[in-house]
Amino acid sequence: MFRFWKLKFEVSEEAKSFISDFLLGLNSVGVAEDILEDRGIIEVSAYFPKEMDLNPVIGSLRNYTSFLEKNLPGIRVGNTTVEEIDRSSWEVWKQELKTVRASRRVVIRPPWEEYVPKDGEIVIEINPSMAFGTGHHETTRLCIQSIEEIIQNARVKNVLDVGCGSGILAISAVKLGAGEAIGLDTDPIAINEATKNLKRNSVPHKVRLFCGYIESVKGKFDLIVVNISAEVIFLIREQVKSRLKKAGKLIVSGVPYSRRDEVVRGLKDVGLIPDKELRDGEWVALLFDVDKNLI
Amino acid sequence: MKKVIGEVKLLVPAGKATPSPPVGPALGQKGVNIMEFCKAFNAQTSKMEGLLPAIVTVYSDRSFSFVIKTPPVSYLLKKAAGIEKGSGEVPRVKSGKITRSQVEEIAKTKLADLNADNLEAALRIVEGTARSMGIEIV
Repeated sequence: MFRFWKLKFEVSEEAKSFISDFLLGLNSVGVAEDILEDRGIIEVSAYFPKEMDLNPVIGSLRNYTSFLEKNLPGIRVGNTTVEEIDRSSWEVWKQELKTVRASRRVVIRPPWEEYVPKDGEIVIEINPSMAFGTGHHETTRLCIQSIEEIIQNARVKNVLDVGCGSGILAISAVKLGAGEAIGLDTDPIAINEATKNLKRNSVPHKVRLFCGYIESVKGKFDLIVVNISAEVIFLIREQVKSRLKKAGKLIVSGVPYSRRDEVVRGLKDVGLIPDKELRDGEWVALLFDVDKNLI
Repeated sequence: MKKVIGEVKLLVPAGKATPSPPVGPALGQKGVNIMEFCKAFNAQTSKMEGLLPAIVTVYSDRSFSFVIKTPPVSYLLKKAAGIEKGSGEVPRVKSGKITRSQVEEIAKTKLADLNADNLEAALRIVEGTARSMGIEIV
């Protein structure tokens, strides 16, 4: 799973945009241009799925480079090399991730870092992977801060985490004192990663995970968290509202501050009342109550 | 000013970037926080449609910035010709056909991105790209 061909070659500065543009249109999943400063040239790497036949791509590329070299002065393209890479070679970004404080009590650490909790702190281990939610994004931290505040002030028996990704919010909720949680995601990769994270944090008995859509979730919840995007919030707002208990609370995030008013209006339209909001940089998390007059 | 260490170009569905490929392999190898890119890209493109080319500039401290561009010429040509991929055996095997007016339309769309001084130069590049892919201009 997740194996790729990496096509690599050196080009002159003048050629890089043409070549990258061309390869992207030939179903490359991504093209990187690295500046080789000492030699004043560019190294282009194009990634293709392992199951793809590269012969047509290499053939087209050869024709295209000879066209460019003939017609555009100064353009040079070097020989192509092909290598096979897998997930391990592109997960180097993870090494940059350190332990992060998400809220007053919750600290998130990757598996390779140690952290000794101080009084009252809860340490959650999340392996940064191909699922959203490492604790390093503002929206995740804003949601955890909101969850902590809600659980501190009211009894929360059950939580629904819509778009659970790595499971970070559902795990935080039960660690902070919620009775149980359901994590829901449409991405099977996310559910797979979340399952591993539940085990890492010894909470598989408190969090259930489902791969699917909110329509398939039964029951009503004290707290629902939707940290996805404004568009998805609009799309599922009725479904979310109908799954909140009378005194239930909703946290929505994944929303840039520039779209705050739009989201507030959209949720008011379905009978939710804005309670409070938390902001970090350009991102916002919004808390809503159910409008009791409409029940 | 932060030092630029490279650029990454990706073709990503509007509003639907995920840490899976294509974002993972291309950006992950540069040490960029993939999640952060996805969140920012999705927020900026959530009202758009289709596959969008994002040009991500990566800095020495692993931070990044990105801009959204028009789709690649080769992508527009394949779409216009209604084909999945170009021919690997040009000129023997043709992969599809497009009309002269379709070529002009693509050249106009891409004029700003092609470093071309005028429409004629842009047309020449689009025609050359089409030929490289085995697409016949009729």
